[in-house]
Amino acid sequence: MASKFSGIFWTWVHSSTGPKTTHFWAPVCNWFFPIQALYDWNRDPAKISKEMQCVLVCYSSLFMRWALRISPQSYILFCMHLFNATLQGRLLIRRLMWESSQQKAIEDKPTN
Amino acid sequence: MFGIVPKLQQYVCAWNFWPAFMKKFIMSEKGPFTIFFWTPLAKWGISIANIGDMRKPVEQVNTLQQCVIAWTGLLFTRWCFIIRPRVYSLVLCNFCMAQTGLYQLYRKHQQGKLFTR
Repeated sequence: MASKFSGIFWTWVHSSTGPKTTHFWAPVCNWFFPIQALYDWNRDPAKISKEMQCVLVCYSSLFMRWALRISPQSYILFCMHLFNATLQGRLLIRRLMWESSQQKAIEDKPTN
Repeated sequence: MFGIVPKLQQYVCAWNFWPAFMKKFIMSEKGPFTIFFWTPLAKWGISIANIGDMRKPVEQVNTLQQCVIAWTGLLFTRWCFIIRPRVYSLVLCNFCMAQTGLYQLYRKHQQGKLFTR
C-alpha cells in the first residue's frame, strides 16, 4: 500500500531543492522585487528614488543575460528579471517625467 | 548574439601594451567581457545606491522596497553558503545589501514612518 507521503509531490517536498530548502525560497523571494513595483504602481513620484530605480533596472537587465548564460539556464529567473526591469523602469520614467514637469513649472513661472 | 562581444574581446586583447596577467584576465571565463564579471557589480550597486539614499529624507525611502532588499539579501547570504563553489565575495555583497536595507528601515522606524507610504 502506498504511503500517504510518497508520490511526486512529497518527493519534491523532501528533495534537496524543494520548499524545505533555501534553494527554493531564494529564487521565490526574488519575485518580491517585481511584486513591490506592482504594489507601487501609483506611488507619488516625489517619493521615488531615481538612483535606486536606475540601479534596479541595470541589475535586472544584467541578470536577464546571466540567467540565460548559466548552466542550467533558468527561464523563470529570466522572466522575473524581465518583469522587474520593465516595472522598475516604469517607476523611473514616472520620476523623470515628474522632475521634467517640475523644471518646466519653475521656468514657466512668471517673474514679477 | 551577433558575436560582437567576442570580436571586441579579441580586438582589445590584441593591443600590444597589455602585460601577460591583463591579457589572461581579459580572456578569462569570468573576465570583463562576460556577464559573470558585471552581475556582482550590479548587486553591489544596490548597496551603494542605498548608502547614497541615506542622506535623503526618510519620506523618499520606500518601505516595501527596503523590506524586499533586506529579506532577499539575508536569504541569498544563506544561499551563497550552501551552493558550491562558495563565493565569499557574493556572501559579502548580499550581506551588505541586507544591512543597508535594514538600516533604511531602522531610519524610518526611528521617525515613526515605517508604515507610511
